[in-house]
Amino acid sequence: MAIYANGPAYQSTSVTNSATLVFGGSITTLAAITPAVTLKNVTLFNSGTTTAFIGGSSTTSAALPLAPGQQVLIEGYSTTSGTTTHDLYAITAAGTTTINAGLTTQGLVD
Amino acid sequence: MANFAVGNVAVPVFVPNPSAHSPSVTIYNSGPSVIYLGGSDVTSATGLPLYVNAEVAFPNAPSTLYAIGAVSTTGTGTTLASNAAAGGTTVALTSSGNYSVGEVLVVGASGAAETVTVSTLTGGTGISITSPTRLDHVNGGTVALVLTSQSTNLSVTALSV
Repeated sequence: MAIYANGPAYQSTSVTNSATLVFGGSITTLAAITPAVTLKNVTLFNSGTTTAFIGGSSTTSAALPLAPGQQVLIEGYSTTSGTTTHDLYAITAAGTTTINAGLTTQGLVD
Repeated sequence: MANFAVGNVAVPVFVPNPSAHSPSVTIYNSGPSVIYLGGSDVTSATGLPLYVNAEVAFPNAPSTLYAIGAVSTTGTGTTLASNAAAGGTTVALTSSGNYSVGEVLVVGASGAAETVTVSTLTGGTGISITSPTRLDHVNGGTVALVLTSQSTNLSVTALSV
């Protein structure tokens, strides 16, 4: 499923061997949205050359591996802009890669 | 489609077919609580959370995926009396902790923790565990009794092309 490659919900993040925020309501462009919106169904794509591991803020190389060229759709993912709830982080074992993240759907908070 | 019960020990939920050109998988959390996805040493602290009624879809999943549920513990029950290398089946503690056979413990700090199950008590402060440890743990690391664990169900649909 394609992701919205334009707009505030699209993020391209350089990821190293330190856990890095790649998607969530607290990223700068989303945190600035007023009123808050619900962010649903996210796709992550590894466009770099090193495997990244996807998880929460304490993620390590034990988390979900995302190989170069691989993508994963998390359907049912939901968070609110301006919050850190359900923030997604990535890390590499060594080296640097790029994670592109974006919504597959978007809706206003009820 | 396969269904898995997931508890406080990481279990493999998808093993790619080695002869498949492009194995894909969809994992749906059909149970009552969050689970965490990752590699063989995934923990609830490190894995990707998959919330109730959520699913992940991998168009190309080249590696084995594991899942584990969340646990709550007593906090720091005791600590390790010596290093515990990955692959070991005995653990030395600084105090007995009054653990019993069959109880589940969390060994190690958040981010490098794993659950183990007590198989035998080997003296006052030693325990044997049912399966070898997957991670290295250092002297002084925390050991805590699992008070409750969340178990859930996963539906896994794999497609090999």
